[in-house]
Amino acid sequence: MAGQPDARAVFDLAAFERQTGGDAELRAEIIQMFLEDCPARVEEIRAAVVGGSAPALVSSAHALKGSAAYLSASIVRGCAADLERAGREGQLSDTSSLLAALDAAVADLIAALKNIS
Amino acid sequence: MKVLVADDDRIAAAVLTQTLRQWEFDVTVVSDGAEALRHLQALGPSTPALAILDWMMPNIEGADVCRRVRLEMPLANMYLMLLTSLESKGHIIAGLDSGADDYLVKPFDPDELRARINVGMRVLALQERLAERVTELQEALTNVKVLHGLLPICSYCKRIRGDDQYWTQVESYIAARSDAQFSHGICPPCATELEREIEEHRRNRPGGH
Repeated sequence: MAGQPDARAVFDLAAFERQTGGDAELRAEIIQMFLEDCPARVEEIRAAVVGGSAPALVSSAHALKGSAAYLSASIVRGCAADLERAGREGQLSDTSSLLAALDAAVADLIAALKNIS
Repeated sequence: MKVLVADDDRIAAAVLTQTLRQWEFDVTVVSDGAEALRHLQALGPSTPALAILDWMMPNIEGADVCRRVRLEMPLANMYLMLLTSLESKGHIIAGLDSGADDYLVKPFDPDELRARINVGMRVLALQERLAERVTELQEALTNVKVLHGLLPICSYCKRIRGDDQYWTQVESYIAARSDAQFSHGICPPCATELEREIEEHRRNRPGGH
């Protein structure tokens, strides 16, 4: 990947504020939940890929995609969607680059979230 | 108004629930399909009429919850919305075919969600009014007395023979079988005939003219 990712694609604060109806308390709560849940979600995805379980990959990647969507985190959402698609198509052999992209995107997102909270 | 939210993702559930509470809905949150179905099957005054269901959930998926509600409670006045990250046309069609009234893709847009919930509330209110009207009509039908068929009537005194084989005056017979009431008077031909009879009677009296 060349250069820095677009900050708004990592985490779009304006979109997140609109999504949460201007409720700062709710935003803080959601960010906290995401920071708590995200590492386990990524590990579930990794375990599904390593274990070769397409249904587990679909389920875990789908869950992360949903959470990232509510955070207006487009890149993580996109990476999770790619992994979910790979699971649905049973293409688990080509997922290492997708997994690496997800790891990088999640690291960027966590940094951005910690930065604002 | 009561709303059921079913989503196993606590972030999605929190955003949706808080949004609905800001709009002053009375929200119940569950995290799996079986629990959602139990709430909807309760069919009491506290049963939510509006449900917003995720698709991929433990135990029973959202689309199967819709299917079971429509199959098991075909007359229940419930508005079911699927809110899911599954955004393919195939999923939208399958979701609506399962019995969902509406289908939204995550993350919801607050204005769009509000507008779609308003549609749901309009449909629920309309169905409730129709159900009330049907009940009123059923009550009215129960009270309607039926008067039809071939009636055996005496050609001379005009009494009618009822199913109990008793001969009843025509006005009693009709009054008992309809909402008709009778006022008593005398028609011109009968008045003429009566006058004629009285006159004849007077003439025939001893000493009459």
